[in-house]
Amino acid sequence: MTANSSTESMKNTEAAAIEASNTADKPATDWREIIRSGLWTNNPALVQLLGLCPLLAVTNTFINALGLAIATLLVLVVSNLTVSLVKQWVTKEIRIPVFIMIIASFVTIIQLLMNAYTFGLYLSLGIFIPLIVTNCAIIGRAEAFASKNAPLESAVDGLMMGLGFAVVLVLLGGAREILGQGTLFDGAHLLFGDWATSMKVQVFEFEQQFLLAILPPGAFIGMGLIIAIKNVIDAKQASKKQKQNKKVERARVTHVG
Amino acid sequence: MSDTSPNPNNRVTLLTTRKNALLLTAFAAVCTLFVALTHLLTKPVIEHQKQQNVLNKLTQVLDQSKFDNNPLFNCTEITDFELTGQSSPVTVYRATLDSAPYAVVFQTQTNNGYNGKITMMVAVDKNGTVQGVRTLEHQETPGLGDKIELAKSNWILEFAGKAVESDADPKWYIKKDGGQFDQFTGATITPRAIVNQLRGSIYRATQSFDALFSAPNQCEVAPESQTTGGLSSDLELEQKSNNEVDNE
Repeated sequence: MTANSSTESMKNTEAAAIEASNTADKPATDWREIIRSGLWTNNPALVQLLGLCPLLAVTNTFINALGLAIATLLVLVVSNLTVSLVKQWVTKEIRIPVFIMIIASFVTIIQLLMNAYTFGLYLSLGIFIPLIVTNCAIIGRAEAFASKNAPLESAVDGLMMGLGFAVVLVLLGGAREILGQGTLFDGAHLLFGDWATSMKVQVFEFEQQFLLAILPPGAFIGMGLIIAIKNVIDAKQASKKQKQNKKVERARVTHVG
Repeated sequence: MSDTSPNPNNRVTLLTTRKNALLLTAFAAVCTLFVALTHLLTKPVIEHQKQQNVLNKLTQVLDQSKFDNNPLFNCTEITDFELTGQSSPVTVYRATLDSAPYAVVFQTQTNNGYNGKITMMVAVDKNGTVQGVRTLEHQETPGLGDKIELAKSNWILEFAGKAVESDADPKWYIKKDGGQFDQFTGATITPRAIVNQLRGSIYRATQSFDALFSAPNQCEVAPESQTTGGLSSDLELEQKSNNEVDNE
């Protein structure tokens, strides 16, 4: 017993050493985990429930949602990248002010660029562009991921988190626009220029707009439904896994017996 | 804490504090630099966009074929609560035809809507006839009060071609109040706010039309870069520097 366990522990240390040397040479990044986490398991909008204020406020049309999604995505990627690049110089005490400063600068830069090149969208998103600074998803990723990981990983994490956020925004925006106004891609010219005016699709027409979908309560209800769908899918997957695990257990029991 | 023998711990704290302060300063400097650079690069484009935006609004309320100057370069600032609905200065644009006064274009606003401020753009010609009215900004209830937008309904076009005869012109009320303008089903407050504001504002503009035109031009461009071709949709960027267009 004792001999066995000692050899086992030796093996373990050996394996650990090999693994350590491997990681030292070439850090094994779990890219799939980063992607999965951003888009699904740790989705900023559906799981962390961060950045709800802009999410609920601007998702009244598809294009508004897409505009804010792109702006947030850009800020998230560049702020994660920058935070990761400068993390070695930032001491523990001042990291939060530095992160906020970096994020605020990027938001201001993006705000100026939107003001210059997508003026209509800038007007229709209004206060929610500068409010990206206060989107907890961004400072959260800077603190939880970018300040501990390499630049490339951090940028990818920012991209995936931003995409996760964007998908929810656009889904909600599209659904609310169709239900509320019966249109899709209304105001596309604000984002893409005048040629996109023809992108507007009249899905169906009604005399009275469906107010509930347009007003903020519609956003809450839609958001709740999306979270519910995600949870149903998760539950199904979990029960599938459990079944598989049970099978494996039984197999081991028979083996020992 | 004592002055004679400095505590080594204090020294360390002091050093880290100094280091942190320097770091923060450095970061602030770099961040400011980037923001400032972007600001400088985008400034002319943003100015251009703002002017274009004002121009778009102007040409919505005033038929482009009826005047031949560029009102963006012919304006005066007024502080007149009755006319503009606000106590801070507002820019009034002046359109001329063959150098003779043709119409004034101004923004007016009211706080009597259902939800916050409603901003409108109004053009009144020399005879006191309304050339056009558009809603620029509002937060009225979607589906009810938002019929004041041209995108949602033609209601706002009703005003064109009409004149305000007096301060309490009985025609310039909504139908519910005995006037000639429709209210919306389920929304009376919004159209009432607009009609009441327009009545006072347009009457005031009619009365002070000559005074508005004789006021000095505050949007004049430098003579060498002045456009003579009237309203061009693609304005030269250089002309923006001398202009201060009040755009919300």
